Amino acid sequence: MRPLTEEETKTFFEKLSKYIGENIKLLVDRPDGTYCFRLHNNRVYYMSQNILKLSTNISRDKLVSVGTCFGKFTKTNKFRLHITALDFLAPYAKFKVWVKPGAEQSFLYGNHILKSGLGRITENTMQYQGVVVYSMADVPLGFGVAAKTTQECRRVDPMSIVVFHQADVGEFIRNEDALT
Amino acid sequence: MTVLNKSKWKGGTLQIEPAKESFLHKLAQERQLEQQRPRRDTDDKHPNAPKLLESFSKAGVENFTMKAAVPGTEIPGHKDWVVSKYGRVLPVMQLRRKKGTKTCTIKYDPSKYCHNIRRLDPRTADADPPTPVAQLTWQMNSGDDDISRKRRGEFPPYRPPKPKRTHTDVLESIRAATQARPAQVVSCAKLKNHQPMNEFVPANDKRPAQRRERARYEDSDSEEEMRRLVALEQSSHNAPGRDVQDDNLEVVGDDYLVKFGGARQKRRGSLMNQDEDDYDSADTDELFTSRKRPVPPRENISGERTAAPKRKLGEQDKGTKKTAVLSKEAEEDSTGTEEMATSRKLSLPQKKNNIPEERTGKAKRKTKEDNGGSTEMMTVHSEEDEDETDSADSDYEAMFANVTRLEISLADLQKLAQESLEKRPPPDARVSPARVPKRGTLPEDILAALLGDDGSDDKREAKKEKQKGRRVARTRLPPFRGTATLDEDALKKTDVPENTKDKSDGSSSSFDEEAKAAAAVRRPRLSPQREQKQVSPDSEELPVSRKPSLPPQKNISEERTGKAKRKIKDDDDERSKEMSVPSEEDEDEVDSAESDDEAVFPNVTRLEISLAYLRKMAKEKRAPPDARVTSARVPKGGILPEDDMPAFLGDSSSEDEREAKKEKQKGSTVARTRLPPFRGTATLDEEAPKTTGAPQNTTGESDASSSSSEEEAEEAEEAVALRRPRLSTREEEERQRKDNKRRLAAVEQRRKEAQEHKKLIQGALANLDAVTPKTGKHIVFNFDDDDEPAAVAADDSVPARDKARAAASGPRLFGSSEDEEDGDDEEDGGRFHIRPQFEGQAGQKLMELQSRFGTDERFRMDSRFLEEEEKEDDKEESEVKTSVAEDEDFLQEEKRRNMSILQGLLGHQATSAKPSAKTKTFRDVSALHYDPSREEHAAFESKADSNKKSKSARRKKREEAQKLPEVSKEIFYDVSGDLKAMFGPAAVQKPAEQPKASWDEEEEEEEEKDEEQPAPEEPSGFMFSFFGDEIQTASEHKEYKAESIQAAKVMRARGYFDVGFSPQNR
Repeated sequence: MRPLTEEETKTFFEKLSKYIGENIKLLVDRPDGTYCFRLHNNRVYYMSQNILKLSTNISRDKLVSVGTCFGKFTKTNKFRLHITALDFLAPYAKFKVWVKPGAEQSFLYGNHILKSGLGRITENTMQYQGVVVYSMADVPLGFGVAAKTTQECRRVDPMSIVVFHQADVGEFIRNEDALT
Repeated sequence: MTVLNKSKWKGGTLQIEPAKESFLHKLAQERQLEQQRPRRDTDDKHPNAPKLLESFSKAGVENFTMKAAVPGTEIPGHKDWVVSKYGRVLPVMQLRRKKGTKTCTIKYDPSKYCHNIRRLDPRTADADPPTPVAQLTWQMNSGDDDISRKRRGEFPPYRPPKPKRTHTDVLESIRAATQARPAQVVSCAKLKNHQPMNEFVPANDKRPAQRRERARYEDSDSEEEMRRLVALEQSSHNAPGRDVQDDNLEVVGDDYLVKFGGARQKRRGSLMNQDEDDYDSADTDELFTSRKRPVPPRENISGERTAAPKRKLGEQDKGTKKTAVLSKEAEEDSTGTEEMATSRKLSLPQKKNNIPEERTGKAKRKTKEDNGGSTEMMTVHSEEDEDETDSADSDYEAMFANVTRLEISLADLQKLAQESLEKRPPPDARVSPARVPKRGTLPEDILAALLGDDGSDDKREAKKEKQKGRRVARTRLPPFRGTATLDEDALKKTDVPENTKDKSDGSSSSFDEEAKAAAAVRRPRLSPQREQKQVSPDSEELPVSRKPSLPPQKNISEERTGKAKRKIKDDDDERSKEMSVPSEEDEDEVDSAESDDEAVFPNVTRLEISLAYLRKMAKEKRAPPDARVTSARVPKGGILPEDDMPAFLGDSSSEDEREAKKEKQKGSTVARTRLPPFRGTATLDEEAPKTTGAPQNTTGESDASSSSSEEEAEEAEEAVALRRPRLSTREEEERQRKDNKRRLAAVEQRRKEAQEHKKLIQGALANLDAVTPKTGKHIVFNFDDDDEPAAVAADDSVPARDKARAAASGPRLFGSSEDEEDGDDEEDGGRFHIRPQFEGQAGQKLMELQSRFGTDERFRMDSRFLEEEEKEDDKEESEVKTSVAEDEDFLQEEKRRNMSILQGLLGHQATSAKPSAKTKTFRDVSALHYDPSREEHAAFESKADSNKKSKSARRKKREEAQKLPEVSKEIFYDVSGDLKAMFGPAAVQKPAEQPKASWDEEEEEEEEKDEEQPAPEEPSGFMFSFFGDEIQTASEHKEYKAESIQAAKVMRARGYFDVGFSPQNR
């Protein structure tokens, strides 16, 4: 386990900023304690200082997970967010998409969100903007990338994709073995 | 030609013959022929058919039918035409048929075969004129909906989409922008199979933008995916610019609040989202229930209204009795609760209106309503004493298996009441006048009216009293209501006032009257018709004894109809009492006799059974549910008294007269008549809410009696089960009587047992009481002894006490409370002594050490152990601290680095997090308290008069300031009148005066300044806010404070000046 390098931090923050923008600084600089990002097994974990200290008691090869896993670096050194980060993305998300009840299941099975399933969307959403997906009952379901701007979303036909699926809470079941 | 043929010319022979026709020429000729022929043919054909027809008609064939011809006859003049079956003229056909390799022709004679010609319906043929060929392409008349119309190519004129209700104004503007689309763009919403014709193609303007976006969007591995997806998507419906209207897409602003309630509200508001209805997740289900809850009762009510006649039918169906009861239960749910609610909440007039309305004046519903009324009553009481019912629940259920029961919480009732209140008034107003006369005829109505009276008088109080069981009359009501039939309900009313009145009299008198009332109850139950029937089966005494009571009853009801006032009722009651006197005497006779004389018994039993019989008869007349109730009640009539009696007997607080009565009642079946009074007494201590009430009655009694009563209740149930089938025959009467006797004996025995048991327990308890104080004293003595020396050793007091405590707690189980308290107090005091050696970091360690040893005296850790450790601890601590500090530093550095990266990433946005954090921090206003001792809290002080000085005052001041000439030195000098001073150096005088005038002058100047330039910081000073820069405001405030004081002075000073200097000025 080690702190992220500059490069990694940059990649990571870039990715994160797609979803929560400048709210990253609320994650980095928290009033309720010192929190930090750590890299372990190519995964980025977000944890408090206390847990960080405690985790030092565990040898590196035995440590499976510590804190909250935000995602992992791929072999090509790109960062990929995991659904476990949703807890931290959802409250700070700048752009949101609400799916209709009928489309909820489809999204939770890993499918993209079609226009027909789009219940509500934050205005001024740019194309390829990271969005957090909510159910109509405001339960965060996952996150994705806007395939269309808000304006386009109004006009496209019902079967066109408006949000590309990135991660959903269904992964907690589907990818149980991969998630940490 | 022949001459010239074969002639020789120049050594050769000539062959001369006509030349062959030219091919072209031939072709031309043929063509010409060809052209001519069809014309001729057509010319020929047309006459052909008429020819045939003509020839046919000549042969007697009309329209290919030949009448009165045997099938097979040839048509004269026509070779191959024969008359086939059904008189049709058909041709004989030669059909070529291939059979294997060789072909043969078959002659098909239609007359030999049965043909399959089906004649089309001439009518349809007439109706449908032959369609011309041009219109043969058929057309489906599809629906007139949007899509089909659009398929046909008819598009509605462009209508701008309705502006949706939005959260923010920004959205509006955006929407407006989007609506400004070109009008010719026809929206084909929801059209999935787009017709290419209809597509509007603004493709090109979109592409570059996308490309640009893509170029900008260079990212992770998912980026490739995304691109692929984008490409895929675009290829799939690349015909871009599909102008589909956003049907129910909602766009929210950035500040959209993710909130459950908000979402719900929104949803409620937006009717457009219709597929919300098929929302299937759990929380929305909740949502739905919460949303829809108010609806069902309403439906219920309306359903009830409409289904009133139907219900009657359903009730009469005996086979489906149970289901009917159930369904009715549901229906009664509404009525009952409504009635309840109204009786509770509404004032009297409203109630009256309501209840008749409930009844809706339908005679059919009467019986049902009756039942409903009973259930309603039950609910009232079930609510009131739910806790009491718990013990006897099982019994209760058994008893009430076939009785409608209602379970409604108070809250629900209230809600319903409110709803009904909201809904009711208008219909009431309409209905009530018509209903009023009817009110009296229905017993339930009387009941309701009475209830209303009650309510108007002291509803709440009465209920409370009921619960307490103080009032005999009130307590008696619930059981009545539960089992009561229609008549009983009506009569119960008579009981109520009577008993309340009686209460003032001695309990003995009340008892008598109760008995009377009970008798009255019995009697009126026989309506005239029933009575007639009753005469035949059984003893003739009964009608005689009962008849007198009937007319008054009628009277009562009639009178009730007129006036609902209580007084009149009371009068009625009295009258009924009087009327029932003879019968009562009768019963008294029975009572006295039966204790000794068995001969009287048959009489009594017969009476009872006859009643049962009557009820049975009535049952047949009544609607099933009601019958059900009565049938259930019949056996109970015999049983309940016994149940009640033990309870009554078990009541230790029973009075003498009651006991006397009890003696009388022993072993008597007449208890039936006593039932109500018994109930009343039995429920003195606690109310029995349920109609049968038997088990509940006993619950509140002493322990012993309760157990016995439960057993009795069981017994009663058994009896119920046994008796039900055989009611009407005489043998059964006999048997019943025997059973009764036996059971009564058993009951008596049980009662005795219970009493013994009780005594036993009491004795044991008394012993216990006697013993405990002794032991307690003893212990106290010991304890004190131990305590005194312990107190001497101050430091060791705690363990010593522990010991003493341990010693004391050993033998005594229940120490006297005083001692314990004392000891505990001291103990606690010692327990919470602050031991200085355990303070601080080192102390904590010491504490841990100590806890490892436990409370062992030998290993006590006192302050001596502290010192050495402290040094070590300090060292360790410092080490730890340094490491922690290092860690902190490290983390801080990391954070800083992260922030810098972030800043680089986000540009200007990611400035230091500090200010944002400050704005984000939540300050609890309610937790903030003004502390006058604190400097910065001065900001919260309101600036009283200085700031509030009105504008007019200010203006005045300013005017004054302007008016007032400067207090010039000249004038001053004039005043002084000292010529010497004039000539002398002015400076000498000036400084002397200056200090006096300076402060106010300055002040004035200041003020003027202030007024001239209205200070920008002033408003901030006025603002009262816990947020923002307090210190700043505080400082400002101080300034103002100072000013205020000075200003006041200035005024005074000015006044002085005015007075002082004005003469000189003039």
